[in-house]
Order: sequence, then structure tokens, then C-alpha cells
Amino acid sequence: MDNVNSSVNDLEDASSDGEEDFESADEGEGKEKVGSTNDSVVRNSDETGNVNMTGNLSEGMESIHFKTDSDKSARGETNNLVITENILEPSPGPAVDSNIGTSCDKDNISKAHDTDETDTPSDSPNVVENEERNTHNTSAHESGESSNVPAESASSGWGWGSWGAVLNQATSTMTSGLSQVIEKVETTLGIPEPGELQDEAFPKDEKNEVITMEPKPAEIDRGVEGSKNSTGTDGSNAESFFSSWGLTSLSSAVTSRGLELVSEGIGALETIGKKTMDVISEGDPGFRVKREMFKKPSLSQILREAKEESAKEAAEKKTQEVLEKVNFNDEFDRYQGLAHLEALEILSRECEARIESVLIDLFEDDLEKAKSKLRAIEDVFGKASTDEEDREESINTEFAVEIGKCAMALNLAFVPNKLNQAEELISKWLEECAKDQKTSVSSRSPDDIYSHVITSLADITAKSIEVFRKVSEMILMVDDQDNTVTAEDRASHLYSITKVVTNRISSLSTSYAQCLNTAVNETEDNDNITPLITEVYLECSNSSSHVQDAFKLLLPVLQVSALNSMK
Amino acid sequence: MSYAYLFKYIIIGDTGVGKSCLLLQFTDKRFQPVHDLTIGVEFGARMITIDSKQIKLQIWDTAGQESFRSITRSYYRGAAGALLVYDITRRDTFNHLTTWLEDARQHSSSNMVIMLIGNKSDLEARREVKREEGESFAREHGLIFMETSAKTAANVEEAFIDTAKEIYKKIQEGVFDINNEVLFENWFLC
Repeated sequence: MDNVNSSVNDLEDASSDGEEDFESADEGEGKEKVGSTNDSVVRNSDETGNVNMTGNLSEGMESIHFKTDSDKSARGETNNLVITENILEPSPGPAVDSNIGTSCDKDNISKAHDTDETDTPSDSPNVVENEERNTHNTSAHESGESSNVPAESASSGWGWGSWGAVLNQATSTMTSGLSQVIEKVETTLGIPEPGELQDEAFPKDEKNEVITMEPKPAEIDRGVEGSKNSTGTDGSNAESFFSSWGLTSLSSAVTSRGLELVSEGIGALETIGKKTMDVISEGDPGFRVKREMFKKPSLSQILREAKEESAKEAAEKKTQEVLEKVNFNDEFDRYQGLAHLEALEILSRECEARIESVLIDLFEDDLEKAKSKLRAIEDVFGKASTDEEDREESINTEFAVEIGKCAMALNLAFVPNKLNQAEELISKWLEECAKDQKTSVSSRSPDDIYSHVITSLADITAKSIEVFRKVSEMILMVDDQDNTVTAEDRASHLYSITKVVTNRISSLSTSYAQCLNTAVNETEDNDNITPLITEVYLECSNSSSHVQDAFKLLLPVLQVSALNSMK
Repeated sequence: MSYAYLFKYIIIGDTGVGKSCLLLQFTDKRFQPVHDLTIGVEFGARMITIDSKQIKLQIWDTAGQESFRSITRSYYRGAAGALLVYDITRRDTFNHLTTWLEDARQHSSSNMVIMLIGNKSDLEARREVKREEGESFAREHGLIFMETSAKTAANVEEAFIDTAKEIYKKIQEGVFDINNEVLFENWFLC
């Protein structure tokens, strides 16, 4: 209770206005009563949780407010926090402490009130604020009175009147709490007077210049700008508004003031955030250290990371250099793969067009027959794209033998010698490589192996596409004379060729990876090698898909062949 | 591998006039007397420099056999230059030039530069077609003319490069629509 008395005394000393003095003192009394009649309030809250929640909220706001108050000690703050809880749980002692908080609060408000009034009596936004303050001052006054009501009615039973009073009290405390927060923040956080801020931002002479040049829009602009910069129109300016611009300037001043309030609010929230951070770190001395740890790793760690990063970059760069040296597309073009593909595409497109024109000319019966033939070939191609799973491991059987068998079955005067030769070269190289690596592991550098991989893959892919193109040409040329092998059979034989080639390519990828791995064990250049091996597998699968895509281009060619055989 | 332009060439003419030999001489600088019959088309490529610009010549060496004609015609499309070749030792190859020329004009761009080549100039003793005949045919049809020898490499470089120069000139004059027609400026890679 000593605390309360001293605080009241303080208030009396500080406040110069008699009315204010009375109010704050009165409120002190009222709050004391709240403290003493805590029981009844709590009982009410049991049934009307809602009301108490709002009351609680307003108290909470006040306590936040106190936290931001630099004058308050940590002890005072925690007490306030306790009080807000104590409204729910009866405990008279701390409740009294809460009075200190609120009354001190009042003291500050009245001070602010005073200064505002003396400095800028004619400032319209300030007038509004003053009115606001008066209302909540009176409501605070009312809350003091109304808090008496439940105490009395508690003894005489629960009436509706007391409910209203409780509601009244709750809402009024809340509103006062809210506005107090804003005002308190302004006054206690050391946010400079709006006028001062504006003066800083816009030196007087500059301002005048703007006004003389283009008074009205400039004023509005400046107002908006001012609000952006969290500054505001000062009193003298508002005066000039009244005298020179009348109502229009008044409204603009009001809008600018509104904007300015909002931005001030945001600025205040920011400061609250900073303060809260400080409070948290004060409460938890290790907090700052913890945060620092998360934020800034030690110097050694930074250096280690930088070193690792540069090493990784260097390795990547090296790989990149090798990759740039041999590029599949370039090699593929060098082996005329692109030209073969382009030719095959031309044939495929022309055949597509021919199919359409043939079908248009056909009559119903023939059309059905033709369509069923076309579908039969499509089925072969459809099967080809689905049964990729059953990969016959025909690595042991000779590639050339397999291809030769398929080519023979096509019954075209064509032997894919170039494809076989390309494969033979690759096989020979692999043999030699394995032999060399047995005698001396370092006989082949990873880069050399990689270049060979790309070159030979490009070669075998280009040769496979060449086979498809030539077979297409032969089929289209030979058609008229020879019909011993149906287009459908040819489709499946060509599919067999595709499978032999793609299987070989996939077996090559394994062999190449082995070569690279052996070469790596010697050089211990793991960072550089892993991407190379990945690249080998990637290029192999790319080559396989190139071959498969080229095979698909054969469909219209074979369909044309089927249509021709009908004639 | 980067280049400013890519010119597509076609080599056309009767079978056995030495089309594939010309290509081999131009790309590989060698001569191979015995040659497999060309099936459909064969390819060759070489970089040349004109006006300090790198130009890639992508050459489509077509089969001369009559049976392939319908297929090889499909390949004319998009060619910027054509080498129309006859054998100076075989009159019939010269007589067929008109059909070849009609075919070429029909299936490719009207702006295509055509070079008439009388090949096997090294076999002067067996000559059946006079140089003047070739010259007048070329003049008549607006072609460039040259007698070459794939065996001795005489005029082979010139034949290919002069054609490229003519195409390049047409590009400079704005005759060729580079984007739509026959030339692809760096159309793939690089």
C-alpha cells in the first residue's frame, strides 16, 4: 500500500491541472476497489468469460505498454504481467500494484495532454486527440465508479444492472488501454514530436519555396510525403492552413494527419519490436549469444567453407572444360548424324503426306483393309515403346552377327557395314583400354576416356540413324518389285535392330564407367570424376533415346510400303 | 565449330559422273577410284572462309541412279547451292542436264545457286563434250560453269567455294531470306 500512496503523491506533484489531478487520484481509488472486490469480478467472469477476456485484453495492452516504457524497471513490468492474470485469480496484493501502473500511466497522459494543449492549442488533429483523451479519461472515471457496482450487487444477488456495469467497465478499460498504448508509445519511447521531425525532413526555407510556387497541390503533396517519412504537419502549419486555405486545406490536413498517424503507428510497432527483443535478451542472458551463434559462424568455419566451395568450383570448372572440349552434339554432327536424321525426317514427313493422299483416294472396302494394315504396323511400334523392360542381355553374342541377322531378314540389298565397323572400333578400344589399365592404371587419363566415350557414342548413334535412313530409302525404292517380306515383318526386324543397338549402348555405359573408375583410383581426383561418370551414363541414355526416336520415324515409311503392297 | 552461316549443297547428276569423288576430294582431299554405289544420299561437310566469315558447307551427295530419283528429289529442299555434274567423257550425261535442271528448279528455291561442272577433265583424250558446249549451256540457263577433275583435284576447291561466294553475294544483296529459305544462321548448336 506504500507503493500506491507514493504513486498517488507523485501524481499529485506531477500534474498541474486540478481536474486531471482529481481524476488520477480518483482512479487510484477506483482501482483499489477493483482490487478489493476482485472476488466478485472473478465470479462474474466465470459465467461471462467474454467480458473478462476483453478486460483482460485491455490490461494486457497496458502491460505491453509498460514494457516499452524505458522509465519502468523490469520488476514493475513483471508485476504488471502478473496482475493481468490476477484479475482471473483473486489475489489482492498484486492488484494494488496494478494501480500504480495505471495511475502512472494517467500521469503521463495528463502531462502529454498539457504539453499538447499549451504548445498547439489550435491544431485540429490534436483537438481530436484531446477529445478522445477526455472521453477515455471520463470512461476511466466511470470504470472507477462502475467497479463499485458489482461489489454492491454481489451481496444483493446477481442483477442485470451489474452485468451492464461490468460490460461498461470492460469496454471502457479496453478503449482507454488502446489509446493509451499509442499515446504512451509516442511520449515515452522518445519518438520526436511530429513537428520536429518534419522540420528536420523539410527545412523551413524549402517548404516556403514550395508553397509560393504552387501552393495547393504542393501542400497536399507535402502532407503525403510527410506522412511517408513518418513526420507530420506541425501546429504552425495547421494555422496557416486555416488562415489561408480554409476548409479545403483543413480536409487535406486531416487526411495527411490520418496517414501520418498510421505511419507513426507502424514506426511505434517497430520500436516495440526492438524493445521486446531487448527485454527478452535481458531476461535470458544467453539469448544474445545463442542468436549470434545462429547468425555468425566462427571465422575458421567461414574459411573452411570458402575453401571447400572454391575446391568444388575448381573441380566443376575442370569438368566443364572437359565437357566443353568434347560435346556430343558437335561429335554427332561431325559423324553426319544430324544430316542423316534430317534426311530421315524428310522421308518420314513425305511418307506421312503420301499416306493421307492415298487414303483419300481409297474406296470403302479398300480403306478398311488399308486401315487395318496401317494399324498392324502401328501395333509393332506401340509394342516397341512399351516392352522396354524385357531387355535380353545379348552382350555375349556378337553385335555384328545380331545386326547382320536382322538386316538379312529385312531382305533389302543393304548391309549395315558402317554400323558394325563403328561398334567394332569401340569394342577394340575397350579391350585395349582394359589391357593397358592392367599393366599400368594411369595409362589412360579420365579426360581421354571421356572424350572417347562421347566420340564413339556419337559415332554409333549417327551410324544407327544412317541405317534407318538407308533402310527407309531402300524400302521406298524396292517396293514396287519385291514383296517377299511384309512391311509388318520389316517393322519388327527394324525394332530388333533398335534393341540390339540400345542394349549395346547400355552395356557400353557400364564398361566406360568401369574404365573411368579404374583411372580414378590412380589419380585420386574424386571430385572431378564423379560428374564425369554421371555424364557418361547420361550421354549413353541420350544416345539410346536418339536411336529410339529415329526408329519411330520409320513408322510412316513402313506404312507407305504396306499401302504400296496392296496395289 | 562456330560459324556465321550454314549452306546446304546438293550434288546432282547422272550416275558415275564422279559426284561422290568430288565430295571426297573437297572434304578429305583424296581420290578413291573404286566407289560403292551411293544409296539415297551421302553426306560431307567442310568449313570455308569468305569475307573473313566462317561458313559451314553441308553437302548432300545424292544417288545418281534413276530408281532413287523420287527419293533424292525430296532432299533438294532447303539447298542454297547445287553442283550439277556431268562427265566430259560421256555425251549422254551432258544430254540429261536439262531434266536434272528442271528437277532441281522444281524442287528447290528459285534462288538456289547452280554450278555446272564438267568433271573428269584429266581424261582429255576421251573427251566427248567440248568445254564451249558446257559454257554455252551454263550461259543459256544462268549457271556458273567450271571443268574439274576429282582425281587431280583441279578446280574442285574453286567449284565449291565459288558457289559459296555467289550465295554469300546473294545474301548481301538481300535476295535470300535467311530466316525462311535455305540458309540457317547458326540454326543449331553454338
